[in-house]
Amino acid sequence: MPAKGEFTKSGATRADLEAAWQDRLAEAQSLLAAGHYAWAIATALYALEIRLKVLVCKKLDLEELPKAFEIHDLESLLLLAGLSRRIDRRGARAVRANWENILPVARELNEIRYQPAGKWTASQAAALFEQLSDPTNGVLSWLSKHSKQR
Amino acid sequence: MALEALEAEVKSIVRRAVQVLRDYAATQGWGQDDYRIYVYPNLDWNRLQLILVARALPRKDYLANYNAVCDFIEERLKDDPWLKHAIGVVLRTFDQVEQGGLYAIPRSYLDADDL
Repeated sequence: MPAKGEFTKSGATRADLEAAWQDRLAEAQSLLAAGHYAWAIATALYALEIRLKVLVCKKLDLEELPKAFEIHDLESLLLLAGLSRRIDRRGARAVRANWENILPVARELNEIRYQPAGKWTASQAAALFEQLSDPTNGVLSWLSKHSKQR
Repeated sequence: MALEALEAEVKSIVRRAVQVLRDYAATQGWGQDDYRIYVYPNLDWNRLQLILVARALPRKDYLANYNAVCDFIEERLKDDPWLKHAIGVVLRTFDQVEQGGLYAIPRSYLDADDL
């Protein structure tokens, strides 16, 4: 339960979040190209988290994200963005497969800091970027499609 | 997440979901040593994620395997739309989990055998 006043305390602006998720994604792609796979994965996941926060603002018609929604759980953010049932539709199954695949590593995002780079391979990073950015079934691509429709 | 922290009602829901995957494993002819199941209950948000790790996945690609598991879950839980909607599934092989990194089982997931 959010503390009293948390829904009225504002956090980042929607405009900043809109720019930030694209910046994080571009940085993630640079890290991937430079062979820094662990940070490429982490930064791409930050991009997804911020993208979802933009959609929460849009869904709730807010110019600033309430402090109470400065959370990191992607499933919660998807629900707050009004998309949790939509991703469960049969036609979105390939997107959901990608989404579900992303969740375990997103839950352990902070742990990446403490792990040696050698645990993260080029093929793993490529797999995650495809799950995010595949034009047809990537999660970010799907979110963009639904963001335009609403 | 500590197993002891799960309330009895949550445990019952988690066990039901795990049993559906155990039934799926049985349809594939997998023995007890051929697969493992890990669980992340996020029931405050009506979600329950399961990772099914198998020695090998029988179909040609990830999506084909995923579709087969989802079809099984939907059929088995057709009378329980809440749980059907709550469950999310990730498929892995033992070799992938051994690799670690992206495919490691997160520490926050429970081993279903401990439930």
